[in-house]
Amino acid sequence: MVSLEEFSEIIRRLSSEEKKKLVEDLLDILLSSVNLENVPDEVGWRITEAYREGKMHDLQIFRELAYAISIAEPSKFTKILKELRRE
Amino acid sequence: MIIFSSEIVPKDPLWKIDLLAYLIEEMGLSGVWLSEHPHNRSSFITASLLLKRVSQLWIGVGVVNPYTINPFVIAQLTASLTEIAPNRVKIAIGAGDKTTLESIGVERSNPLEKVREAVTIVRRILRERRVTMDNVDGRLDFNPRSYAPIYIGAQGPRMLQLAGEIGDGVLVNYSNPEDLKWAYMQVKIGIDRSSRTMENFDAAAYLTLSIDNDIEKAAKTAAPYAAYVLCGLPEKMIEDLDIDDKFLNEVKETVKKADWLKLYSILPVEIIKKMVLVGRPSDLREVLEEVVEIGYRHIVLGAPLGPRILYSLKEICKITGELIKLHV
Repeated sequence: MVSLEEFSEIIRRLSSEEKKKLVEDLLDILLSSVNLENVPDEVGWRITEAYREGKMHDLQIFRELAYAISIAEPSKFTKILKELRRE
Repeated sequence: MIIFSSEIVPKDPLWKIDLLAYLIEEMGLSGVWLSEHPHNRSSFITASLLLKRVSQLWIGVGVVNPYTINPFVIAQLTASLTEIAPNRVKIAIGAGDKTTLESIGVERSNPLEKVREAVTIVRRILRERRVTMDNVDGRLDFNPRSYAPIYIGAQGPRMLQLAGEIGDGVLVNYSNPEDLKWAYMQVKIGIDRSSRTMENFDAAAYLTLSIDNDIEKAAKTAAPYAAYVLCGLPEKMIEDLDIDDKFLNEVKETVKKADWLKLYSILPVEIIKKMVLVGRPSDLREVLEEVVEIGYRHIVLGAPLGPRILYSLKEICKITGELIKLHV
């Protein structure tokens, strides 16, 4: 089961470089997904606006990204979470 | 000078299209073509959003077809878009693919005449606000804020020649240099017929791409796009590719049903690679150089781009940036 709380905890511990890399990876997974009809539009728009405003490293946006990916690509999200736990 | 633009397919939610357009603008491409397909979101509606949300990119709508949208309405919609962003709108008109049109109950008859008539109507409305010809007598009660160059989406020899003869540009949807060279010569025949020169005409190579270091994944991502291209190919091309009717009909049925899992199992990688440029970033660079060598001065980087879209876009834009510097 995917836990957004656990994900947030892990993000807090990452360095800014690690966060930057993670945002890129998450965004790539999200934008490459063929299941975006399942993501609530308002979540998608909040991510889009955050990118335009340069706020992708805010914890709240990490949570939005994680939530969107957990819906669109649950197995990929679980894999990322496992990798983050290991690090 | 060479220009590069990218295709966005409005099959995804508008927030994703908006973000992709923003990224494409950030990465320095000139414009975005929004492909039109009855199964997807309306390219005109999507264009009206993007024209407000980006400030530098031009937005091309197309290829729209005059069977599903009346040519006068195409002109009205295009003129309305010019009010949102004057001089940042392009329109492409084509005959559409027979399989899709049939699936929504539309007969695709006399494609050359239909496209010629549509281009004439759209051009007259955009330039003069009024058109009177045969059975059309229409006008706009508002001024288009600018002209919008009219491209023709073409694959067969006669449509390519027509594009050279009456279009402001052409979108040639082939992905290998051999076919693109042949197509360029066909367009040139039309250009010569119109007593114009290629310098005043925008010949755009519309490459369908799937770029990644993992070729297997790139091919899988490309499969549905390859199937659409295959279904729309002129008969002569199908014969040259040695594709039999039974197989083609099976692909058409699979596309109609959007049964992509079945498509992956029946469409061989060799066929996918003939329809779509599948390869690593270095392969793309080689092909782009060949396409420029042929004479194309506008290259459309067509969807799907790759299995990891952000990675592919970045790699593609690195290459296009270098080529732009080389050909200033």
